[in-house]
Amino acid sequence: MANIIVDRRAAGAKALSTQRIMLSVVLALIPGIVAYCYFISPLVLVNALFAVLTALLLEAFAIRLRGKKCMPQIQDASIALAAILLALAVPPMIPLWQLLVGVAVMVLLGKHVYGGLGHNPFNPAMVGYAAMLISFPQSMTLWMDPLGLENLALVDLIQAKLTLNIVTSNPQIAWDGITQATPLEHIRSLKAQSQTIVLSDLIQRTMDSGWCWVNLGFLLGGLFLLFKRIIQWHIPVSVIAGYVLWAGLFSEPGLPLHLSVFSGSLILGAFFIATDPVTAASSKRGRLIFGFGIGSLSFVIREFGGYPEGIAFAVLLMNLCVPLIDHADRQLARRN
Amino acid sequence: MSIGIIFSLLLVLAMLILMGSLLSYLTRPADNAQADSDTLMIDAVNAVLPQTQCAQCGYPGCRPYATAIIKEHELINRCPPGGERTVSQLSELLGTPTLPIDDSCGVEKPVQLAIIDEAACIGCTLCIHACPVDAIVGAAKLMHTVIAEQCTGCELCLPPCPVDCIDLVAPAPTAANWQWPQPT
Amino acid sequence: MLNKITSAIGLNVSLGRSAHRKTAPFGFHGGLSLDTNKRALGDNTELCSIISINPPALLTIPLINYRKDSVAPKVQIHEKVKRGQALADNIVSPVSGVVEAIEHCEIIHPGGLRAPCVVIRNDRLDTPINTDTEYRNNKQEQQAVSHDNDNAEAQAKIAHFIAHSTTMLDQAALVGLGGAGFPTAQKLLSSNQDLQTLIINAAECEPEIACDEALMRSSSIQIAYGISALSQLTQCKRCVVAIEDTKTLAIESMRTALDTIDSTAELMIIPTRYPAGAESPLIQNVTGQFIPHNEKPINHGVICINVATTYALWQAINGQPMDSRVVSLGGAEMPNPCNVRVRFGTPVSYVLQQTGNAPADDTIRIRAGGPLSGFDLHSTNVPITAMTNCILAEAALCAPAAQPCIRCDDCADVCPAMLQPQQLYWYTQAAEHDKCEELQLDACIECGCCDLVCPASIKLTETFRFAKSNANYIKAQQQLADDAELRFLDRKNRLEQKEQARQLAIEQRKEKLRSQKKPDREKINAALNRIRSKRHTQKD
Ligand code: SF4
Ligand code: SF4
Repeated sequence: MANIIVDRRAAGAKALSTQRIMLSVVLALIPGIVAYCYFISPLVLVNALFAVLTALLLEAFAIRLRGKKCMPQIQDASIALAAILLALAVPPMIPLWQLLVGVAVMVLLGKHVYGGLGHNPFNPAMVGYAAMLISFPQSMTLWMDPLGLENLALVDLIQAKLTLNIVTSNPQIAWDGITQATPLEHIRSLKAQSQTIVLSDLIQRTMDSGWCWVNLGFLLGGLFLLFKRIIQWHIPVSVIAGYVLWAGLFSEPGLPLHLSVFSGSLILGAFFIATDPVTAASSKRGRLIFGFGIGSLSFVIREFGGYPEGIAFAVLLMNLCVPLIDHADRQLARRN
Repeated sequence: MSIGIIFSLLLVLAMLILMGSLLSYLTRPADNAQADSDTLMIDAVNAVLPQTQCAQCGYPGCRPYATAIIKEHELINRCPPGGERTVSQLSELLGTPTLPIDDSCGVEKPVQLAIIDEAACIGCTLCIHACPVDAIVGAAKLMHTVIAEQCTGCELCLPPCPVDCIDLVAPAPTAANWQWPQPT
Repeated sequence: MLNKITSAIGLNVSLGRSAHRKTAPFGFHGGLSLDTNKRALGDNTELCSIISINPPALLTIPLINYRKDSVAPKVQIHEKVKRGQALADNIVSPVSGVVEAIEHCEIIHPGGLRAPCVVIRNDRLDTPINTDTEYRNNKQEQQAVSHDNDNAEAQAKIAHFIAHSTTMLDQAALVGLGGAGFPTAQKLLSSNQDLQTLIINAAECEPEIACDEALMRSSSIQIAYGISALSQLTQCKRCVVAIEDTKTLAIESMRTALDTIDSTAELMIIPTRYPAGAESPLIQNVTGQFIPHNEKPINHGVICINVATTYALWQAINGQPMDSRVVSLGGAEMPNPCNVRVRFGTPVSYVLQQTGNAPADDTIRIRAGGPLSGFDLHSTNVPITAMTNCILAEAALCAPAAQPCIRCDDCADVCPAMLQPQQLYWYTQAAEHDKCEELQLDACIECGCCDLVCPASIKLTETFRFAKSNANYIKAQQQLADDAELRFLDRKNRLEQKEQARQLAIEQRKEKLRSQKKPDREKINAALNRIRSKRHTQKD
């Protein structure tokens, strides 16, 4: 029909498309990924590639199952972004079949059972992550020491990636080679053994392990997104504020704040995961509440929960609250 | 052991009752709907009906049909002019399932309008008497015409016309009642 | 997230007089900084860029008012009309000639509808109708304003106008030239209640539309007189001319003109941000008031008059009723973009031809109105009206397919009416009319901002236009149904009464008969007896 009512081109529209938003976010992840490769493990590239490919295939499959044309929907690149986020969240040494399970849960249960992009109440990447965490607790909590990696031959690596169970079937990978966890896990295990935490040792560890650099990389990417106005400040700021507030009040005096912010995946979560517009609250005020909730919950889970990292569950729990937040916000707005 | 089972059963039961009552409290009808005496309900049903007064439902007009729906539990699918929209509104109003329109009453048609071929009209006034909404003007032996805005397209004037000079047409859109097309 | 909504608060244009002090605009919610892209202005340096064309041989004047209701004609077929003669309420003939027909013709309408129109054959004499203006000396509009330089004379004209405002406004047939076409007289005459602010809307924020800017550059002094007449008529406390900061030349010439005639009007430089020229954002910008959509600005002590309307008012004071307007011709496929003064009723195709813009082939879409608020024409053989501010020629375009909403909330960020387009979209799709009403779908000014920013390319504005017209249609249908029911009940009562009356009459007749029967009985018996006895005798 010739009767186009808003002539976007003639209006000089420079609007972002969904695809451009998603691809910009992927672009913004690059510094973090580079740091990850350098300091932690290049295996993350393998994981990301694998996750993206399988996610795209699975999504095509799911869309076909739903009787739609898959090309226009796949092109929005949202699932690719989710797959990369999932690959960044899991330990690099994760066996690929386990990652595949995570991707499948992410695409099918996290996204397409609800009707695809825009209709999913939960962040798909975090759904996949949570499913993996529950299903494969062992491999999901084993973070490899960078040194351990260097000691491994390529064949071993490939073998390790393809094995069914990372720990038992690979006796040549020594235990201490893979239990060198993120600083957070280290602290947790120290606490469990009621050892004293030596600060300088910790800082050393954080810097050594490179997590600090990785998080700086993510921070850089996040700032880029903010600068390009792909995301707004409300969610990242409130996530970090929520975390810092409680951590400042309640956490062990031994652990300095900046360390706890820059270790673990708080930065990644605040800038890249919680900002997923589909599953976040939609108004500004709502987003502040949403982010604050994520920050607070992730502190609670880190501090008191059974898992060393709480972002995933915090995001999922707050996703649950989004309809409530949106509704309450609308009521408030109407009253004013 | 058995105490534990009983306890948990009781707990679940208690929670179910609690949530059930909470839900039913939350979804209770608004206060003003509580006076659901029959006349109010008839009014509400009547407001949903299209007021074509075509009697296709088998009742002499919309309000009688509304009364029958409330008083005699007549089915809600007997109004072809209202079509699916009316059925769904009625089902929402009455809390009954939607039904497809009853073919024996007629089929849903687009809005139409009677037009008298004024050259052929012999001024018999039969159509005036047939029109349920007084939309035809004219006098004996004089030409008749349909007031376009008032015609409900009920077709009741067609059979009595001895010279078959009444036609039903789709009303032409005017600048005042035109609608933007629905974007696809 | 989207927009570089860097609202630079006004340009630092130095303004000569203190009366024209720059007052800072308040700003408004949402909106977009678009590329203004005013091709019709050419290279932006010429002072006067309005060309005029001869009126065509046949003009078609639609007989509909701003509410799109048809109005009754005041002329008959074959009647001779003069230029300025009333064809219907608030509609005048733009030329002199003969009424050739009163029939349904296609008009500028997104649906390509037909409406009743008066078709006038132009006798090319432009014989004006006699108005009671003693200042009418010339029939040529250019000459009519050549005396304006004489300030005293102009003030006398204004005084005359103020004294005879009702009749003069009646003859002037002024309608708003901003796009809505609201009758100006109605607006002005309803404003006699304590008007705080008179806003002269010189902000054309939509890309490509440049008719007002061209007019301000070329005829600022007439505009200034028009403004002066308006502010005297309405006795407003404050008169603000709001211009966007990108129109530097127009600002300059308006400032000079206002200074020249010692006007008390303020010049307000507002940031160029679409839709700054729409009524509600403009009022927000100038006075800081947010006027709810269902209330009239006049009840808040504000009225907005388009700057081109003030020019037309000055022409009317000089005896020339409103019968033409400036139309911007623009768009990427317009070979010769320009601003052109067109008599109402001139076909679009004629305007394009006369300006050397006839479309090269039929793949080119001709649009009426700007890229955001306009629509594609079904045919170019439709008459220009007061609402046609712009004609665009654009290449064929395939709209991107809509993707699912990702709830980014950009649409709410840019909505000048402070709505929630995302939720409105949801409810319009579900046809939940009462929810839409709750979310104030009616308040949508159909500006197109949300549509433009939506990353999922959802046709939000189009959906809202549909939903609004649909809701109105349903309401109208409901009204008709209610009326029909009343008539039905009336008829039923009437028939019942008739029936009762009939029954009553029958009863009465019976009664009468019954009462007459008794005395008759004997006669009947007597007659019967007679007959019987006769038969007996015959038998015997
Ligand atoms: S078109 Fe309507 S909803 Fe969209 S931005 Fe404009 S006013 Fe708001
Ligand atoms: S409708 Fe478009 S702009 Fe609005 S929230 Fe959805 S995707 Fe964003």
